[in-house]
Amino acid sequence: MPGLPYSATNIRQSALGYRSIADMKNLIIAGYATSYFFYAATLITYLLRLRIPWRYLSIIALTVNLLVLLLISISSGHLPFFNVFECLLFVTFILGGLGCFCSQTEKHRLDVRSWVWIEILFLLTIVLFFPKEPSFYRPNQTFLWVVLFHGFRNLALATMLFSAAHFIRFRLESRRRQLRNYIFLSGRNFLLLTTVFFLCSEYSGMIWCQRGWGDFWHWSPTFFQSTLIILCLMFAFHIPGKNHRSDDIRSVIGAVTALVMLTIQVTKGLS
Amino acid sequence: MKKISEQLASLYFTTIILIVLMLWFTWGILLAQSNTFGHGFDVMNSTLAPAWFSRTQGLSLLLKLWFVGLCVVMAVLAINLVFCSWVTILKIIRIKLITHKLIMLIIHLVFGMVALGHFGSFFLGYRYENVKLHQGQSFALKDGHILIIKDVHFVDNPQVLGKSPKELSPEKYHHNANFSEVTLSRNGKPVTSGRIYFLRPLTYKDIQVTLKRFTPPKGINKNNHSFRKPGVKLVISKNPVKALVFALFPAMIFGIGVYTIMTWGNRKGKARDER
Repeated sequence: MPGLPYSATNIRQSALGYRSIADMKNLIIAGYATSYFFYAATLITYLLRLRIPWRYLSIIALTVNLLVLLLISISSGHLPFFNVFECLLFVTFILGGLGCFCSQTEKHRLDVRSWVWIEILFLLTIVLFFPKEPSFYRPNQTFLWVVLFHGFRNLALATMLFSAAHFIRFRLESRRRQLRNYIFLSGRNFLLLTTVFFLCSEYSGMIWCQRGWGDFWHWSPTFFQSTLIILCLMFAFHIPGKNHRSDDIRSVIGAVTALVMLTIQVTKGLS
Repeated sequence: MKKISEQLASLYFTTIILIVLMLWFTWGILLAQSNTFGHGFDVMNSTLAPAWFSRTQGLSLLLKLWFVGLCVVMAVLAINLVFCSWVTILKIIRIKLITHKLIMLIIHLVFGMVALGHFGSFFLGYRYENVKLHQGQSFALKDGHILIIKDVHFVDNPQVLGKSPKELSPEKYHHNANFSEVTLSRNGKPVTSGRIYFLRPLTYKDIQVTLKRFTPPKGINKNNHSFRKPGVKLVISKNPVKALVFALFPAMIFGIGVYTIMTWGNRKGKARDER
């Protein structure tokens, strides 16, 4: 069909050349396994406080992760946001970037960075149970608002998990008062950022729904799940009190909200 | 009286309402996923709220209860929002104007208006779901407009319309090349016309004509589909509060973004997330 420059077939043919789709699929699986290995090595070396090796390993893990995302995009012709495999690989990349460049190494062995690497390995373990291939072609995958909806949602999940890493670190510390100014407030800042990204996703979803179904709201489980996440975020910001006990509750709710978001994302993939 | 208003404005009250809302939506998810009540939500999507309570097309008693309960909890949240906002306004006037508190107040007020817009969209305007039409056919809307299908332009093999979306490759289905030409007229005079594509509806004032999907030609099973064109399944809706919600929602996001930036570096506990 002429006049369709972004057809997935055209992209596939031009980008892959002689490579078959099966070869590409194997390459993606190999890339996933390699990034899994390097993230695991990063965690081990980080816990052992081997400063130079963990830095190199984390950069290699992030690079391999990025290459897998690029492979998915080139082979499928759409951005890697749509199925659980693509989505969680994108989340691990953002989370890894945040872990590398937006947090600090502390004296405490299980610090925020350690929790970030643990979370990444947890996400990559979840991926083990899902098909490791790009999502099926859907006509709406090139529609701007659909892409923004999924992109912002994945971005929100990544920042939410980063925020949760702060809250877990804060909650597990016995002398929490000293950590309030750095760890807790950083967690709160990234929770606010999550809210912004999640609402951007919701707004894109509203436009998508309006254009596809003629209304911006739908009485369906997916809309209720999104509302539930917004309510969880609102709940975390509305805990009363200015004492340390309130901060404890806030941190627990912040971490639980991350789990709720991840569960919803994964169950969507299952369905 | 002062004590009651203090309680209505308190964060404890907000927390309780949010917990109830979370439980309510969890119940909603369970209801929507059940075979018994799933259809009821389809009815809610295809009609406006007054029809849900009508005798002919009404919902089951449990769904009515769920919806009314949701409205009641939201109304309580609105009362909490009004009282809390009033207390903040008084603080700003009497004590000190703190910019990030003012922004938070605006965010809350905009949130209230967005929620109100959502509520309004359940009652105002109209909605015709799954309107199946073929070329040359028309459909009368209740405000006097008439929708006419001028042409259905479908370049692919109509056999693909019987397949699931997962089976459709970009070679088999060209969503950017398939469209329908429609005209909206009133009192015999066309007021607007244009093409409707998948995810590209036609809008005129508050009226929106959305192409949901193409329907197989009637003769497809008799091997004479080359003589018959596919039809269209449309959603025709009018939502007077749509523009308001679409304008306020980004304002709310922008406000939260500004608040985030303003309080990002504040590590002395000044920037508590309180209203």
